[in-house]
Amino acid sequence: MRIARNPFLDEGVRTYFVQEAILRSYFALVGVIGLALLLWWPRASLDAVVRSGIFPATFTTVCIGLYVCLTYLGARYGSEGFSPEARGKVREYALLTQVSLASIVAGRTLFALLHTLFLLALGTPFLLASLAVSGGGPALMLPALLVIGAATFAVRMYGLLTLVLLERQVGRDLCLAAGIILFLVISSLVVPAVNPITALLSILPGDKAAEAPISLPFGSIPFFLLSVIMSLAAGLLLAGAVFASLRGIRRRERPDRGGTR
Amino acid sequence: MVREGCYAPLLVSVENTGSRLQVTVRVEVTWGGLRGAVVQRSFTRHAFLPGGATRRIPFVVPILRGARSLKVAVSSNGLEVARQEVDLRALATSDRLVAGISSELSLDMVSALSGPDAPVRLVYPRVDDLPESWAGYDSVDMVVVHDTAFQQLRAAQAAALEAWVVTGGALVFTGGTGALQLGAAGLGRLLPVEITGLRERDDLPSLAAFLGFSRGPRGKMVIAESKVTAGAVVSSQDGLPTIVKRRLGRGSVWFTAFDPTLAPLDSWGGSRALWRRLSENDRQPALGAFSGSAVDDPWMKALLGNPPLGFPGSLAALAFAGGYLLLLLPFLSARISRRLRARLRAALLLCVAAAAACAGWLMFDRELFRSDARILDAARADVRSGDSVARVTEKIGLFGVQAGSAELPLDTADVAVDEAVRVGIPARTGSPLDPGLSIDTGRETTIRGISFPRFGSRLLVLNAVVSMPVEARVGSSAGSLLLSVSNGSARSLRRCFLVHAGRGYLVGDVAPSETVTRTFAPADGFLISSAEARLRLAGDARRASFLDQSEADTEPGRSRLFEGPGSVAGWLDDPLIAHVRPDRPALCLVVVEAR
Repeated sequence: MRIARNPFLDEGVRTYFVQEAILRSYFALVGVIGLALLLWWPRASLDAVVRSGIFPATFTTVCIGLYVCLTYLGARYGSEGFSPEARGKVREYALLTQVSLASIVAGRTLFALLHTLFLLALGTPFLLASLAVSGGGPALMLPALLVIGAATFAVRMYGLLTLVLLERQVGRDLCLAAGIILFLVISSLVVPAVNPITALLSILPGDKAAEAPISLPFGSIPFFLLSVIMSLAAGLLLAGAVFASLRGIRRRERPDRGGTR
Repeated sequence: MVREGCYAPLLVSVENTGSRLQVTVRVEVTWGGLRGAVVQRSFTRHAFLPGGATRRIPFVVPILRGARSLKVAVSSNGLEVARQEVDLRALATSDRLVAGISSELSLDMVSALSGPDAPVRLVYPRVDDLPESWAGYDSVDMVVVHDTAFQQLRAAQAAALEAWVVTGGALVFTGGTGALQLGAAGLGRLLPVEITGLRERDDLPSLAAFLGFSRGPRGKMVIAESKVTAGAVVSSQDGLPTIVKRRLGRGSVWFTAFDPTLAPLDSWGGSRALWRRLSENDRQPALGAFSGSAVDDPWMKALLGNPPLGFPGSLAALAFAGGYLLLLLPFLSARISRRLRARLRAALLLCVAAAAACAGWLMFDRELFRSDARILDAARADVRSGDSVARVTEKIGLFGVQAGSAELPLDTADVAVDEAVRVGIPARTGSPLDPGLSIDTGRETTIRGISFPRFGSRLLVLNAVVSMPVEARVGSSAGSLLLSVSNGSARSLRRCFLVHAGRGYLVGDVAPSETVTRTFAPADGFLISSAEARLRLAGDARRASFLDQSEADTEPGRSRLFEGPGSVAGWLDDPLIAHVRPDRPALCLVVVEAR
């Protein structure tokens, strides 16, 4: 109950469901995913698909489209890209109020999680619509949502970290873009199982990776699960990094806490 | 010994030395499949074994070229209690086989039918071991019944022999003193004659004339006196039938009044010619008769097109996406819903997303498209008027959207199940053995575990002989054509038509137990050679296409619908063998060869 009354949760709801720019971003998200669905909608007959062996990639495309959109939006939301004045708010909270840093970080993290779920919910109708025509069953929804959701959460926390650390929006955007691209490229080359796009490509049965579980010392896990675990771990680590950064800022800049200001 | 490329009978003898058991006997055959994948087909039967009992459980298994091994496992309550493996490579042969039912090894002369490229081997099955399924005779070209050692065949054994003849087999009953046993052995229904006694003769000049020889056999021989009950006398001596032939389905039943295994016939110069004449048939093994895939099979093509079996149209997807966006619009526009509180707006947006998700699921996973396997069914049944039995070939195309498996219950127990080439993702190296399919024969026969990959297909070919008392008679009077069609079966024959002398005449529906008579003037008929006429006869493009494909696909010996002396064809609404509801109306053509 304490966490439910966290002021940052309330502030998040008031920001993300009122600001016109953010509402427009939801509309754009749904529009882009809808467009991906239409563009990749199968046009051949079933027997032509069976004969050619080229299967409809509608579900995979919608998944990847949703992942790309949510990665972009997660980065923007995390770094408060839609409300440039926000950086001041986070720092002001840390510097000018007695609110504990744990409460700030917990509130922000929880809202990031809940808001990610909301964004996934917006994309779910398209995922469900594309499932059967791609030869998938309802059991595939959970892996797809977990991979996209965990990756979005991690990016969002990364955005929050850049918000705390970097003053200029341009710097934050550059840092976010470079970090995400580097992660995707390096992970696809070095540890493909950690890469969310590779994980999404492997969800539909028949793909090579989908049927090959990853062997770990304590047992084996489905291919997609490593990406989920790594993304959630990264998100929580980044939340810890945000907390540490805010504590550093508070110590450095608040006179009553030994700061220089 | 088993012949490659045919079904072969297999008897599994199970002895229970303990207390009573309910057992499942499973036979697995494996062979190298498509692209090197190992394919397996298994057959199961359930049996009750009282303590100390020995049961012999019959199977019919396909022996494809390259078949490697056959495993038999007996299990009770899920526990395997016995297992045996047979190396098929040591047993398989490509030679032609002739089965001789005789108490003595007296038919070895039949091996004289061997040609340089097609050696003939003679096998002598015990009467008790004779198959109870017609497919058990698939590997033999001819069955010669000399004598049954005074044993009586079981009803299922006699029925299997009859059904095999219907599929094109040649059955020969030899005469002499052994002929007196035939009726009592349970083969009277198949015999073209009724044995009335025995007579002794010194020569048979009519036999020489029948075979084109100048001299017939000379010496004392016992001739069975008989009265023809079915079929036609092809050779007689002094009014006594010496060779009688009965056509049954695609095959023939012969009766020779003499015993060709005894002197002087066994050493007569015309003996080889006689056996050659008796063994003449063009029967093809039921196994492997069809190749190709479900998407390319000509019978399936008629079902795949018109209307196409496909995905929901792009317009449906557009309507869905557009509708969802329109529903979201009021809640995402600050102008429209300016006074909406943040939490309420979030809740309403979630409600719209949930409603759209449900709608998307119902539309694209339930109503417009389903992810379970599609079943298409096309069949052709051939009946000769008077036989009351039909030889049925039914093709079942399974199109899987999701990876999964299906099962098919069958209406007929004695079915030979074959499969054409499968299309789909090839098995990965190191993947488990492809389960193929499993045929479970109990009170009902069910094909289980028909697995397929995502967007894969399978084409099953079912062959059976079923009861179908349908008759057609065609006659002419004063330039008119008289037709009488009698449907003694339990199914309606829809949109029947007569094909006679290159013309097609519409007859209409014939209900069960109904006899329809029609008189046609020659001008009433359509010239069957034109595609337009066939379309008018068939009633729709799908059926017309099936008529064309079925005609082009006619196997050797099977009556060609458009070329025969006179045939009546009609359509059945439901599949004949499979007990399924196909995703498209089943195409089941019944062709009745008129008298």
